[in-house]
Amino acid sequence: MRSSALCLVLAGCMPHIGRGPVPVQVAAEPVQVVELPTPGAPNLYLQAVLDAGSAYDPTGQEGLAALTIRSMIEAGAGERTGQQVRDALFEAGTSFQTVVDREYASIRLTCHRDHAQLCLDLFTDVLTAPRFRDEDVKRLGEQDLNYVTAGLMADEEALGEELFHATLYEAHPYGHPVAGRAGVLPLLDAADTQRFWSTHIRRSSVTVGIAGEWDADWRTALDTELLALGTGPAPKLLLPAPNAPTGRGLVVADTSTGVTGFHLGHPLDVDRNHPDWPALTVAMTAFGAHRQSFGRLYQRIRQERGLNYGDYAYAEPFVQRGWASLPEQGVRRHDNHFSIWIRPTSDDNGAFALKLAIAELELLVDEGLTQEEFDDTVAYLSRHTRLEATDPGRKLAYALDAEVSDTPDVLDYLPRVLETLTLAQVNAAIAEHIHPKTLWIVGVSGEAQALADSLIEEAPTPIVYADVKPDATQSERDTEISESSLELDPKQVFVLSADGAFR
Amino acid sequence: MRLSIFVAHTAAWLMLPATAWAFPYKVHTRTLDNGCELVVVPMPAQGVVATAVWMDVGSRNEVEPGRTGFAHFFEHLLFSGTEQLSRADRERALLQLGIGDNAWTALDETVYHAVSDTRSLDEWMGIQADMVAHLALTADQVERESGAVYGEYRKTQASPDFHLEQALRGAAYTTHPYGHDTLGYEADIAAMPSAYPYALEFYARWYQPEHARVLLVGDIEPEAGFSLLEKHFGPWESAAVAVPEVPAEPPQEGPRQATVPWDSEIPPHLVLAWRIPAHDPHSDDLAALELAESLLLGPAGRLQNRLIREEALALRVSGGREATVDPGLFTIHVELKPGASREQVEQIIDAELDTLVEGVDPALLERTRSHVKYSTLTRLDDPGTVLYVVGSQLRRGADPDHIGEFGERVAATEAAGLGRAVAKHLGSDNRTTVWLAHEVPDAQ
Repeated sequence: MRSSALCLVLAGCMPHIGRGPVPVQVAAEPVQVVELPTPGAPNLYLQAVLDAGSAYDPTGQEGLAALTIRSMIEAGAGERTGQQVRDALFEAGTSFQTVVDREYASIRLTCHRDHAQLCLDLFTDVLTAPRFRDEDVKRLGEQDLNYVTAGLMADEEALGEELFHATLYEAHPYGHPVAGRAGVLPLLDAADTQRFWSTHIRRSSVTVGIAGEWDADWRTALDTELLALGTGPAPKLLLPAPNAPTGRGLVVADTSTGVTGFHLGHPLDVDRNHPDWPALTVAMTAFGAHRQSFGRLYQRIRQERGLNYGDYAYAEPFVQRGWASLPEQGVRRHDNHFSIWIRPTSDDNGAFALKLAIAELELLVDEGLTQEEFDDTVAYLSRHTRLEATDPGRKLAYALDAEVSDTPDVLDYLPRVLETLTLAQVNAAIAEHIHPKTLWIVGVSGEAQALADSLIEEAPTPIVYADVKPDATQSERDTEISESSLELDPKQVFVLSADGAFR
Repeated sequence: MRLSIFVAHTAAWLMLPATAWAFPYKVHTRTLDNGCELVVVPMPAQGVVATAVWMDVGSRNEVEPGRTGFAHFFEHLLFSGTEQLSRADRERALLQLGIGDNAWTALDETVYHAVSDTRSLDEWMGIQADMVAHLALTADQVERESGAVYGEYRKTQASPDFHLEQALRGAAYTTHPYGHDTLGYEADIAAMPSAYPYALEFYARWYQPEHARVLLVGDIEPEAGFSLLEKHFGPWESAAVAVPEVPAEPPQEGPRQATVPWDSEIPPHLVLAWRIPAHDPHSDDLAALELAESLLLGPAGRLQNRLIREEALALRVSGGREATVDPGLFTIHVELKPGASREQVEQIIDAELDTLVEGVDPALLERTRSHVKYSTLTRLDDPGTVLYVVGSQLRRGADPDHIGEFGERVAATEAAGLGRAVAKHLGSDNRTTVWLAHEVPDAQ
């Protein structure tokens, strides 16, 4: 265990990859710490949000940010080897969690209070004194390589989402997968991760959050240990404009499993500070709340026609971890987009499902929400929002998100602003910010070329029901959808091989 | 939603090793005259209560030919509405309450769950009781919903894990319904649109109060919780419908193998699985196997270290003990690095199992016991997780007054007992091996 007070003044106890002794006078620039005291809580929650997401990857080193963050928790830190870190965490019954997104990376550690000191040491060591052993960095790089090749091919929904990003953010720092590109991952080594860490992980780029119950000594020790982080400015992102569509563009990746799914959308110049953000949140919740059955898209595509497992819409990027249905935190971005996710249907029905979703979007923009939809959705969000964070760790992650992105904490903010929101404001926001005629449509399909051809040729694409017997109204609507044209811009239609997408 | 074996392992690890000296909340239970079991677990939750209707029916009960996947399909159908509250009206009512509900199906259960504001709880439980007791299903709804299940099946098709599970279950079982996964066979899914009459039969058979457990966990006092649940679930009348026996799986008398050819170039996968006894909270052998799971497959486990970090043979190592109502599986799943030797991987697995039989290092044993204790404790900070832990344990025969009994046994396991259990249950005669690769070696 390191003695933090001594480390301030003795160069000899600094970590393996240190920046030299920390001058005492710079203690006036402490790392920002967000506190969420939870008296009586059995756990301590330590979280750090770093301005070190994949958008900071140097060109030609895509994947370096994620590899650095994973190496920080895997390859040893402070006086411990990687194995010693793992053994200590194992005995304490916990492990580090990381979330790396485009702009931010998060490192989280939840510990029982019996291990308060151990976890403080491990958490701060990982941030301030990672070792970056070459063998570990190479091993982790191989895992990332496997993800962007075999891993994405084994998950068409994730592949589609990555391709959507690559299209919407072409030539933009958000455009490549967080895990990197297959061609460059084998070239990354420990020296690269060390350089990335020393450049990007500094007092000015790290925001720490703590929840639970702690004593004054523990709290002081945390501040002191964090002073081992470097001073001076960390690089800031310069974000070019996203690749805004000029009409309706289509990108389809060819796969071999006989299913077709889509992500579609466009850049959205609205973040959580924008006065229209609550209105668009209400609109997208009513139109396609994630994993909920009341949304219009879900009703039309899944419920009435049985075409797939679900259909959703989002006013900001939505990241879901594993099989959890709650949104991940630590994924705020300065460049935002609106999107729709149509989960896989059969190749036969892919074109129809897409046309139906876009027709519903046009209807939403033309006519807005009804008073009933508005009232129901506002009631839902007013009560439901705080239920998305029922433990101190998730509440802390929301608070940190607000802090680092300088936006309101939605757990409190959203229910409050909904009290005065009106239907007219929501429908005006939809009309102003959602543009159904300018969309990037990105699909994965077992019949990619045929799908693209049929949409360009504007041929009818009738729905193929398994056993559903639609009533007359639905049949009429089905015919109308089948015969509608997406009015694609033929110059913006691309069919590509999924296998080589991120090589 | 259906839980796959590779998710369920995480779940099993999470739900079972609680220890009595550690489990921090009192579990209150009461059984209604109709047989429905009520469970209330107060814990600090600031105006929030996690809720579930936990039905003791899962893919384990799919005993009739052509009906694989039906428990999961029925999970979808139960949301179709009642005479009192149509599907659409139910959705509107939930919006007003701020409830976003969901459900999942696994081998041994189907669980309908949501987190509720305490202000919404009374009305929400009324809606749930109405849903399970008074389903008004139509043939048209069955036809439409079958497409959603097919969609759920489609989205798994590219995943090697899905095909591995299907092959593993098919090889490890000859008779018991654990031989198919919860999603079911594609041919049976394709036939679901015409299953309206069977859906009514399935509902009448399984959605009876004696197969139900209703849980409230969070900011609620026991008497208030019981009073509320009795009001809503008390009138649910049991029709006492006979349920078919689940056929017993004959003992496995020799190793089995299966191969899954893959048509694109991916790293190969190796799954080793052993048939082990049904979960029993009183079993020292199973507690020892639970400890073996942490020792081998935990985040600092021996196989994680050797195969991934020391020998650099694997990209991923996972698996664990299934805690099932009938005899289940203990699995080790290795995603090999391209070019790594399968034989070498198998030798290392065998060697690590031998080490457990011969006597594990006492310091490692102690660290692992500590891991089991604290990995459980740190997760019990959220009403939804506590509900899952308690519900899973009660489904598997735990005493509500001693919910951590099995965890006590895990923590009390000595090296000798561990060795005996591994030697007895993780040998070669009850082992099934599945190999998935782009090019299947002739030797397989």
